[in-house]
Amino acid sequence: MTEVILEDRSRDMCPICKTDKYLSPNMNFLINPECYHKMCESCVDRIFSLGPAPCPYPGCGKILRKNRFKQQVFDDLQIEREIDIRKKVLSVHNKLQEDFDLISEHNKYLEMIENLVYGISSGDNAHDLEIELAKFEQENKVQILERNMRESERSNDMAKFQDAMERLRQEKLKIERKMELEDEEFTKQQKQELLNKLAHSSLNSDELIQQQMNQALKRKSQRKKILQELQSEMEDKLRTSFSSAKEEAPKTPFTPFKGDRDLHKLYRLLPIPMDIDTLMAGNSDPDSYSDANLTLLAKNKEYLAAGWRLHTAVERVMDETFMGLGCIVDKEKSISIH
Amino acid sequence: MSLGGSETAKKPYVSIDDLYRKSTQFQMWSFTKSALEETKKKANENGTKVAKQRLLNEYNNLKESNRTLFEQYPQELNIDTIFDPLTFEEEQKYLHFYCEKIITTADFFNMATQVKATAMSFFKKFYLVNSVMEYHPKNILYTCLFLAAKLEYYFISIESYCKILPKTEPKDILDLEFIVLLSLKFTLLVYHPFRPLYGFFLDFQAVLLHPSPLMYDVNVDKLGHLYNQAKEWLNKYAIISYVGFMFTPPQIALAAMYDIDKRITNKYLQRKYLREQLDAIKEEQDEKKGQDEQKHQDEQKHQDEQKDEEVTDDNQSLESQQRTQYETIVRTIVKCIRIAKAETQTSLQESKDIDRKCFFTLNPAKMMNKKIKKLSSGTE
Repeated sequence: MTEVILEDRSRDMCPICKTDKYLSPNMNFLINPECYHKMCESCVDRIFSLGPAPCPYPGCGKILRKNRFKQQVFDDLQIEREIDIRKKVLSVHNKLQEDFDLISEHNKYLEMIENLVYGISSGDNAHDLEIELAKFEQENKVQILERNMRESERSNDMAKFQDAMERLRQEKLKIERKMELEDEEFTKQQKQELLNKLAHSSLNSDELIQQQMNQALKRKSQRKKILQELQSEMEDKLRTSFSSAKEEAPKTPFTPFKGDRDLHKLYRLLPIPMDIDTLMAGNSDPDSYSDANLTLLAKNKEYLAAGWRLHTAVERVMDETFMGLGCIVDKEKSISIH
Repeated sequence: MSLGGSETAKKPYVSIDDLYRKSTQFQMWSFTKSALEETKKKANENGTKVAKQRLLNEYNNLKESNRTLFEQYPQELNIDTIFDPLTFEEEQKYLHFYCEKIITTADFFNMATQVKATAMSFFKKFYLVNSVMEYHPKNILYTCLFLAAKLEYYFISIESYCKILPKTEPKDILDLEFIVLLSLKFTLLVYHPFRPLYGFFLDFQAVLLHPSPLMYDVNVDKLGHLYNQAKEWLNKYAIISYVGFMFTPPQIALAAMYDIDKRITNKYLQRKYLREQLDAIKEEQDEKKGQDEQKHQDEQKHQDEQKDEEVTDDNQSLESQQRTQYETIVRTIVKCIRIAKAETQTSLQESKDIDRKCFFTLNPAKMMNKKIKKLSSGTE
């Protein structure tokens, strides 16, 4: 029991200056990935602000630098250490899946990384492995840098995209707020007008109120329309500025089998109306497929709302139509038997 | 870049036909004609063996209790004369009779064609593994239909299902359900020719009517008519026969159209195989000349930097290749039609006779008792 209490206390106490968290609640502990000995911030400032100095723990004596100190994330120092090692290894072995032809090769690569991390963090020949890693880094510096560049470019793109999205949202909010204010003003004005009219006009009061309501309704629907237009305009803008980046990726469908899907289709689709308005209009295009059931389905609101689209449906049918047309069962099965 | 060497190594490449080759329908349930016959025969043989064992048990029991009678009539009570299994032909006829029954039952429930076809496929697959001498087809039929209805989104609760069927308890069906699934090896997805047929209806339009009509008397209405007739053809011939085990769904769909209107279908196939693909390949080659980097996997096309003359040479060999491809397809289709139409109907009387025989092989005790009763009454 006492041990537990002691440990609890020692966890909250700097082993160098013996300051307690209980007495100075905003003290922070830092560690250095050289030796992972824990000490408080003020100790670090005191000991290392004049330059590199040995670790004050008895029997350690490793030379530490102030800029390498960092906050501890995990309670368990073993984990903390492993994560640091992993970071280091991954910064050297930074190939991605797309750099491999086969998934199995990529898996092997990942396995190799895991073994390395484990070896360095807990193996006997950690030192050798570290030297090897450094050597590898030296030899492949150019490739590693290249891959790093690629990665950062990608994350850059992502960041930019998110930035633009955020800006778009802000703008939309601004406009909406402005509109709300206008609306408020409008209702106030209308009220006043109504009072004036009631006072002076010869018309029936019910009629007057009806008139006003109609006006308000009209305005509301107009508002809605304007808002919608604005939104679609903004989204368009965003899309055009980012579409170029998106279209670059090849659109090969995923296959659970080894190898890529053959994208050469056995058929050519006729033009199929894509947007909903023309579909709803239902005038069958003479250049497209003509089938009464199909056009009927294409107009079904429930289907459309659920995401059903004519061209995907047709595409699916066509894919299934030619699936296995070239398989001559007679021939292929008799071969597989012999 | 020499990073992963991804540009040098080619990935293997999966065509739409290869996708079909990976399906269980192709891998487990497609046979050549002779292999299919053999499988059926084997099922019959196994069934005979099981039935004989069943009879033998019964026979020995009764022999213990009716020793005198057995000694009195060694001729009539000989095991070999008593044992009368269904022959292979009888079994096939019997199954055919029940296949027709699936259609009437499904129609009775107003089920979609898809359900019908799936149930039919399950039923046939079940009797490729088992024999009617092991499981009586009546309840297997109901079980297959119930299972197919569930799988094709036409769910009926077991209570309401059994209420309509004569003399059937939920237990009869539910007990068999797992046995059926086991025999199907849990492969439940069945590709039917109906969707390809619809696809061909659309593609016929694309090929024959656009950009301008190819044949003076073919228009959308005519194709629609052809489509409807072909659908009927599939319902009449394809579902009930075993073509689903020997041909792929698009081939069967084309067979239906070919049998209804040979002229139009042939024109379509010619256009498709002898002209269109050639065009597509030519286009690809042009593209290829433009950019050397592009990787194409077709064997015929890895002579990149060859001269134009050689390319045309290549085209000629391609043309012959296309022609053989076209001819194989037509041959397959014609064969499919022949097999689909070869199926003969089983008359009611015939099936009743077989049914009696089947009943006795399934319940040897009843038959034996009947026989013994008859003989013992004759002696008195």
